[in-house]
Amino acid sequence: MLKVDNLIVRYGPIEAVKGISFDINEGEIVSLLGPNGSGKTSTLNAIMGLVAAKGGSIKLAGEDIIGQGTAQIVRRGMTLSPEGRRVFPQLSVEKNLLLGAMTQKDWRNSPVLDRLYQRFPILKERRTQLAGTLSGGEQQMLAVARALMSRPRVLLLDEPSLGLAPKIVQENFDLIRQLRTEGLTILLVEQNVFQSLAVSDRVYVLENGRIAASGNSAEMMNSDLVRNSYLGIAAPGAA
Amino acid sequence: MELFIQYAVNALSLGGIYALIALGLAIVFSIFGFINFAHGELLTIFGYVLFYAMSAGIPFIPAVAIGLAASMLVAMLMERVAFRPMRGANPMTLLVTSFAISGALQVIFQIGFGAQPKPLPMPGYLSGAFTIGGIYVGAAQIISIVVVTVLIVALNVFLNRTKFGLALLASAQDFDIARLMGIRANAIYSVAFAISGLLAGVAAILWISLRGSVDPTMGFNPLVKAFVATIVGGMGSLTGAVAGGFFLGVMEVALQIALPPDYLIFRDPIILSTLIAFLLFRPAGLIPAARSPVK
Repeated sequence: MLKVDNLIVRYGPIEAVKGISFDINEGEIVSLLGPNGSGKTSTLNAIMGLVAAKGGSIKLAGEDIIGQGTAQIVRRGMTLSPEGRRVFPQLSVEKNLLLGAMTQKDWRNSPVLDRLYQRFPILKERRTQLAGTLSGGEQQMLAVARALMSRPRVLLLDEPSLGLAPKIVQENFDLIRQLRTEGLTILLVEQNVFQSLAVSDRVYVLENGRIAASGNSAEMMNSDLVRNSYLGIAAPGAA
Repeated sequence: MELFIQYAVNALSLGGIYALIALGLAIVFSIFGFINFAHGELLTIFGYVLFYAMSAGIPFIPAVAIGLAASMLVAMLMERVAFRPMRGANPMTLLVTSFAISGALQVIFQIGFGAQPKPLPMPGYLSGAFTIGGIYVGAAQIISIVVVTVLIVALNVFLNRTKFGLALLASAQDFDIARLMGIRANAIYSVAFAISGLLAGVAAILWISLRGSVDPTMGFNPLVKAFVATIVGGMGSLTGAVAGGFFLGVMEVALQIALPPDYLIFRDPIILSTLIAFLLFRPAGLIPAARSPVK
């Protein structure tokens, strides 16, 4: 469904992503793990065309999407729920959602909106409230719902549980499982290694802009690299 | 009482003009993060186009329409030719670029049209005056208040009810995420400048109806006032720009009345001191813009 080949992202002299390759099959959940600064967010931003890739190729459903522009990529059925939620704080909840559907012809009366309101009644309840006044968990819900408004086939999730209470984090992972049963292909970037291994089919571990390991999530849960770096002897308080 | 209402009408009409110019500055600022100092030249362009259109025998209303089209077009050209290639540059660089455009255009106007002011008489219904219940009011002032009100309401409807308007509001709050919504950056840049050009053109009609002539540097003075208005109102906040514009109009008229004739030259220095006071004590302005999201 999504195939990234030898992707390079550079900010001035700094190479953030140094030629990584990975792929995601239709209906799969794939996790991208790695410490801060390892190039996860840069990879997602390059896939969406928000930062320019300096080399490599990105194919969505077999078609090359590098240089197509973010709007076109969203229209082709892939979108991102960004790190830090990034809802439009001074716009109402409903306007945030409508903006998510802006690539659709029927953005103003999208049938998706009613379905999302059924799924997230709290957003319906707060539809006229400014998004900036929502709690962190509600903003995360809104960010995902806003991404779903564009009817994506591939959803990129960047740190959906960052800074949220454990109960909300659990709800987030439940939502990710639900979305998969609805046929969505998901690329997940998470700090919560254990949970993302549990939810995903396969995993790629990034370190310093390179893929350090990859494999089936169940196997990775037992691999030394992941156990040592993320699950086992991580220093207390380390992300 | 009559005198008070008369002053209030003056303050509202002058403030309305500043509000329109400040709105144009604020729309561009909210998206690009810099104050376009070449905005004043858009007023001048409108003035010259109106002057030459009317000299060519075109009646007033169609001539105004041509002038508005010209100020919008030049605004979009500015963005396309000068600002778009600098996209992603430091806002300070864009600010200096806008100074350069402003200076270049003023010289072009001087060479092309001469430094002498061109008289631009307004039609009777704009320059006339009438009395309502013993109060003497200029038609231009009433028209100015009506036009400013209509335009602000229209802008509000545009921003909140149309696709482009909503896209513009979203872009002003978080440009990257707006792109992620599928909003095309180039379209937003063009629309933002087109609106600022339209607002400049309308402000220019009202400004010229007060002064009666066009000259190469006519845009500078109102631009400085509008710049003060955007700071007083709150940089990048559209409501703030309107509030700041009216604040300035009221202040200017009040100083005009309060200062003895010999001290009138201190009017503008006092206004600029207010700017400094705002920068020192309330830098976010009367109605601060939404804080930019953490990146």
